[in-house]
Amino acid sequence: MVRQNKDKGLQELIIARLEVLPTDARISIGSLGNFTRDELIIHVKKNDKIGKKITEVELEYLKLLKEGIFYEKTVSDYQTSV
Amino acid sequence: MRKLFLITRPQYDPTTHYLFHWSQKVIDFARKRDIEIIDLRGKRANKKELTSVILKRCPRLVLFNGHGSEDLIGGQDNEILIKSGENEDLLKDKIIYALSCETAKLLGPQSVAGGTVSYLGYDEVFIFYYSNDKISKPLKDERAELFLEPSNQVAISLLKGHTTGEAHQRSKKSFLKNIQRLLTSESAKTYLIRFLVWDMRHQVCLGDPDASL
Repeated sequence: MVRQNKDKGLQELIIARLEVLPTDARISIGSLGNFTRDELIIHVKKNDKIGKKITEVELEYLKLLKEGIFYEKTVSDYQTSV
Repeated sequence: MRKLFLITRPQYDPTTHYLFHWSQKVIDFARKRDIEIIDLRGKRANKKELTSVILKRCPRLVLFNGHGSEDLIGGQDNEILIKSGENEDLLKDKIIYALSCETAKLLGPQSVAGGTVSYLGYDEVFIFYYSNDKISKPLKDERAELFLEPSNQVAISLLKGHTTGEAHQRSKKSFLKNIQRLLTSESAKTYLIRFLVWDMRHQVCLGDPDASL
């Protein structure tokens, strides 16, 4: 029950963040396809592959914000580890 | 001896249409510098032609544009051009920049292990935004420019003679410049920052960072 509420809260957060996207543009997510804002929101609600990917993008950004990404000084600080 | 590079530019859906047009800027830059270009555009972006050109001309630099996944790079109509475990040996002794999703996860490391000098690419999906009313004029699309101009910096830096490591850093700086511009202005495009940060963070440089053309 707690997990379900957490997942629902997360989904609502992601949808709220996607709702600020413009309606006159599309996002290209490589081979996953090209999507309007409303299509992205539907995918997040379905929690399918595309919805999960956009959730991952949003969460990574929120995590970086929390870590203070914009206070870092060097470009290498933005590098993923390989 | 004139410098030479090979570029693949499939064009068959909105994503490849944008990459096709934005990579023209790299070609124009090379022409001004008298660098020889082998341009596998549209239908020419197929496995047979790519293989033939690489074996005959041995370009030091290969730029791929198109769809991809962890283990492959696609060409026109998503025909597989390079696949891990099949023909990544074609990339041996070369510098690669793949503007293609996720190829730096598996194909990149495997090709470097097999002798590719340096592999620049993305270890995640490459995301960009484009405007519905600019599809017929992609180079006028300011949303797409924020993503594709920093990507072009990899190729342009290499063509200028910078090392692969420098090209990687210059591209990331270009992403960062765009992010900072959006952060510090009253732009209505701040929603794009999350996607620019994603692309910037997931661009990687594998292999020798000191290699150059």
